[in-house]
Amino acid sequence: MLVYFLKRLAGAIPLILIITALTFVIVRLAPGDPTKMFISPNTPPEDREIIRRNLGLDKPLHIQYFIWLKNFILKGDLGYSLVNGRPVLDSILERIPATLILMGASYLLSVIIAFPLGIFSALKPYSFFDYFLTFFSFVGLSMPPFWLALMVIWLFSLKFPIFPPMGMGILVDAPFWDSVVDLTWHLALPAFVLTIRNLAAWTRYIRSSLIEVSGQNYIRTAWSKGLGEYSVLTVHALRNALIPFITVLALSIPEILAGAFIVEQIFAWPGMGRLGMEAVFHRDYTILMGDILISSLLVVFSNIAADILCAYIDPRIRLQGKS
Amino acid sequence: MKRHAASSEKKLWEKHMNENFLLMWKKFKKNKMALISLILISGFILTAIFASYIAPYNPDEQNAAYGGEPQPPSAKHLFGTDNYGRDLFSRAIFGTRISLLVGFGSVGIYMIIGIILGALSGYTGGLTDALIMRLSDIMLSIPVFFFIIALQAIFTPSVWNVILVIGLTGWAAPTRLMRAQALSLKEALFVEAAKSYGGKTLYIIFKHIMPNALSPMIVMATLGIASAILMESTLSFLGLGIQEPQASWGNMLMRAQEYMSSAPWMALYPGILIMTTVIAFNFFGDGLRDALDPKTS
Repeated sequence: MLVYFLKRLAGAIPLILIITALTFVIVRLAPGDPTKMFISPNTPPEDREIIRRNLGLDKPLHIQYFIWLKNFILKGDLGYSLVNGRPVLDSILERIPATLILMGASYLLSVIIAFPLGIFSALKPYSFFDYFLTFFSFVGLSMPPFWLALMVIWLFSLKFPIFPPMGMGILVDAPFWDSVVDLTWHLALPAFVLTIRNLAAWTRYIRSSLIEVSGQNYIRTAWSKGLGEYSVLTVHALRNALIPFITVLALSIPEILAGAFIVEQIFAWPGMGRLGMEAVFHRDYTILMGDILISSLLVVFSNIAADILCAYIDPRIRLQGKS
Repeated sequence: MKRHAASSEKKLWEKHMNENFLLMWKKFKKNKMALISLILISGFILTAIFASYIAPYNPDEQNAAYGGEPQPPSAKHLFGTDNYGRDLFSRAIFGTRISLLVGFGSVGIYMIIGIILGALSGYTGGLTDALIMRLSDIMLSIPVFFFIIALQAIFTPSVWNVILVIGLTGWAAPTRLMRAQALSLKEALFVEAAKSYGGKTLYIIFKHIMPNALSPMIVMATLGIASAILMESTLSFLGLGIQEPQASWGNMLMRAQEYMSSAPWMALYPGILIMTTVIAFNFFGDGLRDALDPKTS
């Protein structure tokens, strides 16, 4: 297990190097001399040269990259915001919880709803309900999430003002439960928008995965042993259908994070996505790239975590190539 | 004599292909959703081509007579107008052009890259294969969406930019599919025969591998167009895609966002159009997959 874990981690190193290099190059592609942002235009050229040298901008690009990488890995230093001069990492870290709350809520909601729907549709394939769900999935996957967001804001905030259209609503000096209720109220619409797409994809996935497993020999054995429907379904079929689903859960992370970028923007949810989009509009490239770098690393590491989890649950994966 | 034999063989081949096509069409026709989608897609394509004849107004023409207030849908303006008094129906028609251009353009780019790389990778094997596969592994693990946002934020966004960015980041999946095809075709008898006649590698790849691997690639391309259209509208909605005054469904929604309370119709129609187009390509691709799969009846 440990060997597998280390192997998987080592495999991620070139990927992380490439992602960081890409980030670095894109920041450098950004138009404008980085020093122009800080120093007054009246600075004499020789002083400007000294500042450039102090910042390491006179060195060749690949050396600059290694210095940047070293600072990032050892000190968590991603530079400073071009707009307000705050350290990039601090600005990002304070936004992460909001994004995690939003993603977590949508994950939870999607799993809770997708499972019964998927199982029900697999039990009665080609029934009316199954066709209805298939159609719903197609619509859900084809609907632009940002448009759905606009529509629910119009319906549930403007036409029928039930939910607040924006913000996260952290109450100051309020009892704990009041804050939770308020947060949930603000969370409702953005989480709903993010959930629809997951729901559409996952329901289909659980359905087809269950149907596939149902055709396996061990399920036939379980039936012929005379086990009840409940036991065959949960103990034998569902457990095996779950293994690939864990991978799907992990592979959805980039998409949900991307969705969060857009949804946060529309609902003014103060998370990483909103930070990134604000940086786009302010041309704050250091913040933007820091945000994208951290998001990408989040994705890479959650993929590794999913692989390891899968290997832990399914010995066939762990022992592959060992015979 | 020899030439005669060749030409009759060719005729036989053509007959065979025609029969195949008919069989496919028969299968495809049975799927009603796919058939409706095909009709819809044809409609969208015609709209895109003849946009300037169909649109009742110049899509960029502003009308100050409305005093900067968006007008609700009426007989004069089917989809209403935006705050500049521009006719939203005309803008939506020209938006079709952008969506399809981006869909076909970007998918065209990454399919060509994918088919060439995949065929090379699968057919030649060895170091080329290892290298291409590693690259595609990395490409598949990078969360592309964020990098597209960054690139669009740094370069001046335009239609061509959007096409290029989507096109150059999407090649990994088609490369893998094509490689799998090439791997199995490599062992086929007709490829063996071509090799024994002394066919060069590139000749075999272009003449024998690629044409025979085409059908799953076409399905992938169709589904790819759907997601490329979604991506374009997302970028334009965020202000990182097609820029006004050029009309796209995404940037119409961006403008609509500011008027959600006073003019919700501005948001309604572009969204429905995006959804319809994307659903149509998805259903069409699905139907195509079933029709092209020899295993289904």
